[in-house]
Amino acid sequence: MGIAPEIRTPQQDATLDTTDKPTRIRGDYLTLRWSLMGCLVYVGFGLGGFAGLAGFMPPPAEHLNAAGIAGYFHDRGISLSIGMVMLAFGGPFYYLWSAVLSRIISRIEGPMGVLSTVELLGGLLTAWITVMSAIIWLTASMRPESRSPETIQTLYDLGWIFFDVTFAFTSLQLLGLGFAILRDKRQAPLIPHWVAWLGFLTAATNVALVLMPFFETGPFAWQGLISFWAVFGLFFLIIGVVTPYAWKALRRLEAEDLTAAG
Amino acid sequence: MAALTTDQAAEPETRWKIPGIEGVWVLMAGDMVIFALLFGSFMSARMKDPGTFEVARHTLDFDRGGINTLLLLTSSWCVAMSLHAMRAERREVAVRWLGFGILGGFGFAVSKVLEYSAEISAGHTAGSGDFFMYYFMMTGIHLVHVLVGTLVLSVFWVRWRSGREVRGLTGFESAAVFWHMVDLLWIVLFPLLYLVR
Amino acid sequence: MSSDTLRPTRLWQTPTVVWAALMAATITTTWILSKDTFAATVGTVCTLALAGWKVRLVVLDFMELRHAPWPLRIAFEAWSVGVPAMICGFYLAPW
Repeated sequence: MGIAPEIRTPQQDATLDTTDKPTRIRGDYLTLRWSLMGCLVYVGFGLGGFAGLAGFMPPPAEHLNAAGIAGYFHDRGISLSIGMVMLAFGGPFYYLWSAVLSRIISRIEGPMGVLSTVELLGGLLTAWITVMSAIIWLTASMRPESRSPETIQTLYDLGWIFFDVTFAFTSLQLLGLGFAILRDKRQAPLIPHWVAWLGFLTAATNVALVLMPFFETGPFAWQGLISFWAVFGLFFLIIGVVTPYAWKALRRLEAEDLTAAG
Repeated sequence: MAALTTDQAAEPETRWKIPGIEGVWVLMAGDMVIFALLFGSFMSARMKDPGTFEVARHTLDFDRGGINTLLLLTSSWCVAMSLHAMRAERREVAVRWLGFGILGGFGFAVSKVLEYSAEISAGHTAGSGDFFMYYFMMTGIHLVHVLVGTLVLSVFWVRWRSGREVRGLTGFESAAVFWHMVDLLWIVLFPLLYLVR
Repeated sequence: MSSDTLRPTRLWQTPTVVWAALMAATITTTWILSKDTFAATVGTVCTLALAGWKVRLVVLDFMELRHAPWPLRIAFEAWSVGVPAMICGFYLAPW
């Protein structure tokens, strides 16, 4: 399996499917495992940038007036900008992770199964939302000398609406994943059924975010106990719970595939 | 949860079992924690401004609230009786108990909507200050749970009445357990909003 | 049927008796403890304590956790004690 090109004959190429199959299988699963670990980059850069450098944990409140939020941006300065660049960079790694789950789901459903696609698209769009909010907040933080407080506030609001009100992308991803897990009728399911229900809880809790635009204070504002802490707490919890089970599932599937390949 | 099933596999002699679908307990535990957060949030807000909260509280209809509690408790009882009847393989009896349980759920929902109309007519909305924000949001989210629970129970009621063979009660046990959770949340929510003075 | 019907159940754990107890407790808190004959603090704390007891009854005898593996039972009983305690804690704390 070296990198140096071996000189292959046309006859050898013809037998690629049967003779090199175990090699290909191992290669596939290696790629899957690396992609699954994409969640570490997402969480690392995401939290490091959003919470660490930008200080958004909890974020500046919804009830702040323009001067208040402009003040926060000015005080935080370059750290905020760097944090948002990190968040924008880390965002896409979420879809790497989601792609792996999608492949696992496709081993549960049949050829006409749609849940693997639903989960993948949900993962892709969640990643996109992360990036959108990051670049909007980054824009707000640039050129502090010429941005009016009202502009900063408008951009800050826009970032939060992108971050929160688009929750359905993530909820649909978790519903797709959850339903697939429940459909797994193996004696020992690839992913335990209770994980599906944790996903359903997370998906349902996200629905509270519909209240975010209407309350500037209290638990449902974007900085609130429910809209921020409960929603994102559960989001990171589900990533932390699903990942080890997905890893084990990949090991099992690889063993199955290698056995089948003979 | 994985540890619990290993315990059960290792000790099949114990009569202990987790009612219903295992994962639904995860859903419910999370749900109850979120409500606990809301209860705490309400109390924190209340203690910062007890006078305003007291005035607002007095506009609520305590009698209706109390009757709603009795109604939901009775509905929970009916569902519990329904499960016991089904286990004893008395299907027609079970269907009747379940029917009354579902009616209780509907009754609660209707009563709640009427209560909301009364409050709104009196000029109180979710934007009328912190107390009413908590009142509408907490009872509103609870009402969504009531509606979901009633819907799920209704599915079972229709299925049981259709005369088709019922294979296993695990699903219904979970539906019943969810319904009892809805009841239990109201048992705390009602005094929290209406009676804490 | 799938469920175990052989659990020993005491009379006071049957649904009907539990229901009667719950109804009585509700009537007490809603229409007795709420009256001004009881000081606000006394009425409130007793009401919350009763609420916790009612939740425990629902957990043990409606949800049937009395016969469930103890970690699950403990978790839900803890909620029935902890949440009213938390509410009382906020209520009684000197602000």
